[in-house]
Amino acid sequence: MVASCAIMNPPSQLQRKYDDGAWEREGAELLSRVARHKDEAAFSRLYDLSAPLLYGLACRMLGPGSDAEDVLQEVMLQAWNRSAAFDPGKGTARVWLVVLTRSRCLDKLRRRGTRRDHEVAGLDGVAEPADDEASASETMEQAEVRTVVRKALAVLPNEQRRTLEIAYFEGLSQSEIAARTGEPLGTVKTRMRLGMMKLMELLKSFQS
Amino acid sequence: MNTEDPFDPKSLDLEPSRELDEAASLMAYGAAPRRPPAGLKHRLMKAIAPAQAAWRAWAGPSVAFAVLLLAPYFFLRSRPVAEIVASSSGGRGSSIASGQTIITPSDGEILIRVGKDAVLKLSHGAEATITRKGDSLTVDLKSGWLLSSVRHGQAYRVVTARGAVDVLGTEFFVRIRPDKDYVCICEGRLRLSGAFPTTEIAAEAHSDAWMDGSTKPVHAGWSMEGHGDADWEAVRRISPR
Repeated sequence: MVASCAIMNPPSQLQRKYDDGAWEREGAELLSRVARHKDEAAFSRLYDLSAPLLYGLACRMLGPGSDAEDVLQEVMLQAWNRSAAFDPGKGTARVWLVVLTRSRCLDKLRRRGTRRDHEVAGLDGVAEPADDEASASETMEQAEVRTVVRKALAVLPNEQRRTLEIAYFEGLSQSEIAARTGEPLGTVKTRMRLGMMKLMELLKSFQS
Repeated sequence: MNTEDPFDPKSLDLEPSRELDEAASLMAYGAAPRRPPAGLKHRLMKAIAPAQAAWRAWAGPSVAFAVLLLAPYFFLRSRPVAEIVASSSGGRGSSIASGQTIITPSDGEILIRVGKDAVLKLSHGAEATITRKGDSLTVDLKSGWLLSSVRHGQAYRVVTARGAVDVLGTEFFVRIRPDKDYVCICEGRLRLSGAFPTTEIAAEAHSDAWMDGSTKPVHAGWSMEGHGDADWEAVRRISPR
């Protein structure tokens, strides 16, 4: 009998923190079960794991209300109906769902033709307090990832972080950010580029 | 609102990478987690349930219908059309399905009965495929020789790479040779067709012929290529004729 085996090294403590274990271990498998067997239990678990993050993102981009709720519903239905489109080779389940959510939020913002004019909330969460129940429903690993990512973002120079946040949560293009902040387009470009490079570097260092 | 993606690697002068996508998606953690509205999960589970129920409801009957529809095809396709009644190298009593290819060993000949319609003798080192379509029988002979005794009125054809031999109520013999095929008729008539003018040969006139695949078959001078009276006798003993 021919047997195959895989040898895996145990993850380091920091790696486990960054890995967002529940997502990494379960996300792809849950999506696969939904795609292949239309497994309701897998879908239910996927919802429990992802909804607080996705709904939090939608609320941040659209403001709390029916639009954010619609987005979450549409994304979850898309996960149910089109989970076969998820390719684990291209990224994690979290990346797939977050990208879907952000794209739908941007569509809503475009349809509205407006955007939130106020400054996006800072990392201290003063302008957007965390939902205690939602925080409690996060797995310990998800909470750890959130802490790690927030720490990484906090390390970025203020202008870089602010530029990234406007681009990410408000969906403004680089030229729109330049118009809003009154900075030259080149400066905005550079800030975003340096910010992303630093973010990747920081996340990599957390991993290793 | 501009539709340009500010995180597009091109606009950031960065190489597209999984790490970049990952880092961008992690920005979502900058937003505080929020508990989704009460009842949303319930609505979602309800929304997917009918779809699943419908899928299940249709899946069973659809599969059953497909099976019923295709069953005759698979039944007829896999139904044995012939059996090996004698073999010098084992396999006696084995069934042969329509479309099945028979390859005889280099040191063994076999005798095949095709129901009540024909008896065939395949030479050693022969390769042939017997196919029944409706009432007609076709033997695709790739190599070796084949001696056939066919029931009167049975549509029967032997196909070689060089042409086809249709029986017109007869006993006949076909042998594949590297350069040409040999056809010998014992009784009745044969029609030879291919990339040459269709020719008929009869036992009382031309008893055998060479068929090279391109020119009109010519008389072979009764050379009894590769077979003898004993072969005919073996077939005749159980022939349906």
